[in-house]
Amino acid sequence: MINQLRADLYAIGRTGPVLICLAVAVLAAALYTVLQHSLAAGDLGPEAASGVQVLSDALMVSLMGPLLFGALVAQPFETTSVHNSLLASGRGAFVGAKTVLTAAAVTALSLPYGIAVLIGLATEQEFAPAIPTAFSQLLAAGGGLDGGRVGEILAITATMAVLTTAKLSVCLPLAFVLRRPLVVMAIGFVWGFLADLIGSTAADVEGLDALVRLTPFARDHVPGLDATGGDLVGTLAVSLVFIALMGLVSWLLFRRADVK
Amino acid sequence: MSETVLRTRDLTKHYGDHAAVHAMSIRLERGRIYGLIGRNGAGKTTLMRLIAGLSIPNSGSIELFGADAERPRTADLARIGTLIESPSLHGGMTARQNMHLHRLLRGVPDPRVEERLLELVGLAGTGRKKVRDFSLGMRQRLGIALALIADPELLILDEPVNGLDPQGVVEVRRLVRSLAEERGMTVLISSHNLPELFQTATDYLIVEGGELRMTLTLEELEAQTQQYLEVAAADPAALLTALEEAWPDAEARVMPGGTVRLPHHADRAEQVLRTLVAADVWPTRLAREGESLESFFLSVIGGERA
Repeated sequence: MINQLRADLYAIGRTGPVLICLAVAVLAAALYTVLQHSLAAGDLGPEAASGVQVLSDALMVSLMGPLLFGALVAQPFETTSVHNSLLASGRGAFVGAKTVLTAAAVTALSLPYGIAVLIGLATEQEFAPAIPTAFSQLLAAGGGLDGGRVGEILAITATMAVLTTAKLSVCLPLAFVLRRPLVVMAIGFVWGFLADLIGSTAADVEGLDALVRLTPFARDHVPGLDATGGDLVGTLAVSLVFIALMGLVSWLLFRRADVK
Repeated sequence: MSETVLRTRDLTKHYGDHAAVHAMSIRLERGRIYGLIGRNGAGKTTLMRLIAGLSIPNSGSIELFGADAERPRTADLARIGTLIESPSLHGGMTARQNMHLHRLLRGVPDPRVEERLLELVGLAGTGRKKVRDFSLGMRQRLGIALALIADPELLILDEPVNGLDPQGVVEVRRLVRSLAEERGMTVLISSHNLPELFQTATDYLIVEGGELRMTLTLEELEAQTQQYLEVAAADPAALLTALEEAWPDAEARVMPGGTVRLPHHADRAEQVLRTLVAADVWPTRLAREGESLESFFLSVIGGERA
């Protein structure tokens, strides 16, 4: 598994998708923060908010996350580099390495938004959320930046990033089954929006609400401004267990699957 | 005593109702080169996938390096190198970067292996050229180098000379032979190029319709495909005497019915005729016979495709 991770990290440093997605996330986060300030300052009218929200983490990560699952998991099946991976360390290690790597890469996509919140708050300007995501609400809440506040924002950022990754981690078994990067990306993108909707609906059904709370799709898990340390740890635990579960599902699906 | 590297027992793989490989039992010994011969769809690539753990058999077992199991263990798979169908290449990387990536993947500690293998396959001078700009032949050669990166004991090459120019074909042949002779590597190699396999392999596995039709050594194949001159005369004894007096080392064989076969005289019909006439033996039949490689292959698999 370590060999697979080392090889994947080497490949990431020399091929496009991951670095490009990270660069796009940084640019989108920066631009989104600036435009939220323009909305608050009145430089942009309220009607522009729907355009601005395209740059939000909710949309960008939902778009680029599945792309990364496709590039990091499905692509090796298309290039047949999976042959050498399976000879080198076996199917379990391959699935394990891909689970860790994709989780880390997709989590990294949300981090620029947290850093943008810190920078935005440091400017002491006003910001108006184009869409009420956790990051936008942190930014809009304003307030000074002391050590405690920085720590709080970093903790919420990390939790939110892992939660988003967990929601998208259903793309992991999808990528192992479909093995077509573009198909994984398309289904994952649609899933990103459907999942929240299904989670919200299911949470309103008596009996299902407790079950939904055990998944990252429960509304309660989205860390708000008033989230306690316990809330964040709970959300992190649910998210990490869900990601691990998706890794397990991937392994069960892949352990006896034929590889072209 | 020869060491068995791979043994399959009644290996079977179905895709729906179609048996891609059916009850195939083969044994590969260390240091030998096995040519896997068969038409498209005969089951060659499926057999290679099963051995490499890329496909899971429906039934049967694979004993790899002495460990018997339904499918090979990870530790044993690590002793295999493969080039199956297309090379595992990252088009956006150079040849050296591809080598480095696969060295990390296989956990090979010595970085010098990268340059050594690139030199071995003639790609040491490709510098910063991206693999996506390589010719088909260069890609194949890089694929072979990648298959060798972990110094495998069993090398599986599926159509490795595809796209190679004649010089490249000769180089691959020399490489495969040296790997088997000098390092004791076992090689399983498939190709549509029968004459090329004839010059490379030491043993042959002929498959058709997912079944193993025949296994034979190079010597047996040579015997099967040898051209000879067949001579008949009214007096077979006089015929044999005349031939043996003219060519004591001819290894003439008398066949049922009295005809005589001369295995080393397939191209010397005129000379044989002159000799017999001079000895007052008048042949009733004089013909060049024997199977070509292609006709022997077709006879084993059951004739030409309908």
